Amino acid sequence: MTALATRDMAWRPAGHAAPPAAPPVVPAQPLRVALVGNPNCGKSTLFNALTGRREKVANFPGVTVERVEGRYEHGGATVMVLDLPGTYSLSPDAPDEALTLDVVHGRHAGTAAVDVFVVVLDAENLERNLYLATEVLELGRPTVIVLNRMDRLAAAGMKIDVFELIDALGAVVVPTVASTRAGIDRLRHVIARAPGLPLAPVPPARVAGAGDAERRYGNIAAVMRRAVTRDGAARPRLSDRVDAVLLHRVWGPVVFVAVMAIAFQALFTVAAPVAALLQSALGAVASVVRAAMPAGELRSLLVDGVIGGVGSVIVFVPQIALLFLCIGVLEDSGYLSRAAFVMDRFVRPFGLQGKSFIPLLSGFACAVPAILATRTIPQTRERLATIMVVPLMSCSARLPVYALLIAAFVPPATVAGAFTLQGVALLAMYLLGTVAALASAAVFRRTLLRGATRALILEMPPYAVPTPRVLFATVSQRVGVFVRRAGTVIFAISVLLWALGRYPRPHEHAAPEVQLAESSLGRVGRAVEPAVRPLGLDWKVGVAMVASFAAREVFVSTMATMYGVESGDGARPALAARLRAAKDAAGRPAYTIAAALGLLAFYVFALMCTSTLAVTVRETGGGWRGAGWAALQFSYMLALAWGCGFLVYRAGLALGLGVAA
Amino acid sequence: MILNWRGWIFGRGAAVASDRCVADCTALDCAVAECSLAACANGARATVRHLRCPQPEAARLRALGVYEGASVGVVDRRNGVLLDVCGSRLALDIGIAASIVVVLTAA
Repeated sequence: MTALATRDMAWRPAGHAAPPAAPPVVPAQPLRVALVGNPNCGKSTLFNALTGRREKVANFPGVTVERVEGRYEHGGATVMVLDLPGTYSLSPDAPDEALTLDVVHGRHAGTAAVDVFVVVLDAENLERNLYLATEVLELGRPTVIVLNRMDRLAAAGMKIDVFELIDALGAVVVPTVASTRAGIDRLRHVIARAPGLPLAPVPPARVAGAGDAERRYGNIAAVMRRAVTRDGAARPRLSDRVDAVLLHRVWGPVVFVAVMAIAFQALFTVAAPVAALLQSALGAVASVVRAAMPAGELRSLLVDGVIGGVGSVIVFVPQIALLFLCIGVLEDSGYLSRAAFVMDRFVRPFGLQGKSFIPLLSGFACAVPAILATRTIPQTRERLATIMVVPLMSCSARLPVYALLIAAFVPPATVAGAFTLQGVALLAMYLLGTVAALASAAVFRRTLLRGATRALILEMPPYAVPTPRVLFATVSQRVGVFVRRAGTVIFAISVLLWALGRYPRPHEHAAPEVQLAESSLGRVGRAVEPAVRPLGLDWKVGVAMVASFAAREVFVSTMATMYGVESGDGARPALAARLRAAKDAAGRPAYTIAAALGLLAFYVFALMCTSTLAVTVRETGGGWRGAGWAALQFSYMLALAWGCGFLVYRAGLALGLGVAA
Repeated sequence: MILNWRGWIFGRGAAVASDRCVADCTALDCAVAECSLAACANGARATVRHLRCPQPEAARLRALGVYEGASVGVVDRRNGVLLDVCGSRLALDIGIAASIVVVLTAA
């Protein structure tokens, strides 16, 4: 690091023997800086290092698909930094790249003209990264070149002479290691002075025929000869040997399925003890509130409405955190791009390509960023088809519903030694959603969105050991979003449901069952009961389904609130056990295994998330056009959910599963 | 696709049309014989001669370093084609690889 720092301090622009002595330019307006670079070259890591923010970073191309803005103070001046989606050239191929081009040329609505471009280069892939750098330099605007990931050069057997690179490019070059913040202070210093520095010379040959890749790469080769030396012949890479297995036609898919199976099994076995502790803690809090307050409406609101409703969702935080951790490890290790490549031939018959697979896999975490991630898909019809089916991938909000119903109705028997029937059932839910997504995509691509599928051209990032700090930041940010939803939307709905389930009260001393049936909630439930009765479900589940149309995890809190109302102020048994033991008016089990499986199928397919619908409207063109796509998305998924729920219930009855668990 | 299940699993179907190119490229005059990138063996190095794919794909390939005159290495072609381009790894599906015409050079 010492050598890097020394070289860093000794930078100079072309034609200058020493750093300029002129004071930094302190403009009246904030200095506007845009980070430009190839996908996966470390722009977002650099952005975070410059601004102190915690934007999502990962080891696959296309993490940043939107313009992200941050700021920092330097020398008394404010610097606004734009983190732009990665692009390989200034000829856009996908919507995210088009956004970068629009900002670069000052055509993006709502974005002021940029004062300084910071072109971020991955030092390990210098030759390819220089293609974009030369295009930006030819714009003739103040530009700073950042040579990022300098720490990886030794392992790659490369040395870069920064002085030669400065002379060859005719531009300011700052070496950095953004992940450790090395060189960041120097970069801030250089950015502050960049508007006053001489511009890089633009040779006439570069301006004429700017699309001529052969000529441009010829110039880059000359730069590489001057500035880069390699240690002997190219050594066989460890990553190539790993890729020989992970990208293998047979072993690649086998490894992928094994990775997924282990991840989903871990959701049950690893997170369960932590979830149990959390449940005990919530029970203790409820006991304390019960002991501290006199019996009455306020205590019922707090214990049954707030702690019962919000707590029933919060208890799934360990499983959701583990899900995000698994996805984070896949993203940061570099495996996600491999998985996309391996899965390309599996999704291609359905009219999608490997690039669609990354949003689909991200959909396991949340459909909203997954739909945004479709911006990396170049072809409009493929992108639209992917958007339409992404919500079928089981997101983290479905996990509480699955976990509740599986824990209640699937026995924890061991399967194949290492797996439990519950883990297998959970994996089956995710697989069912995936298969439905592919089948729906095939229908869209053969009807509304017909057209040829683009070829797969995908850069494979180098493998990397996931950084605990980055993983922690990613998981905590995503879990934070989930907890905030629990604290706002789910809190509000829980309180509303508590009130609807409590009033009007027929008699002061009526049995809880009668009170609930006569309440507003009971009346709503009986109104929707004809729609859910064919699925073998009763009005209470109908209420929970209606309540969860805004956010599907509300199903669990609604059931908890309703059964909490029933349980009165006594000790609250686990909700799963309550569902198993629930009886209908005739004294028969209220929920059979067949009905529970049908309900699981319903939640696999139903689109119950207002955020997803909102982002679908925006990403499919906005206005009436976007609303039309969102309406179609909601309708076909609801029809699919009800139809499959009905079929699964009927099949379960035929197989003799019309009994209690 | 369904009928050609062996090719789909083991990767022998897509490049059938280029099998003769493999034979040509392994012959003595391989230095001048053109063949598709999909037909090159693992470990081969080749110089790109033509990009016979639609313009958007060709532009993307050029930006990624696969341009007419570029030297590329075939790292693995058992599942699509994994290329060594400018020191980075680029994965192509077999269809686009078949549209890239190359001349083999010394490995």
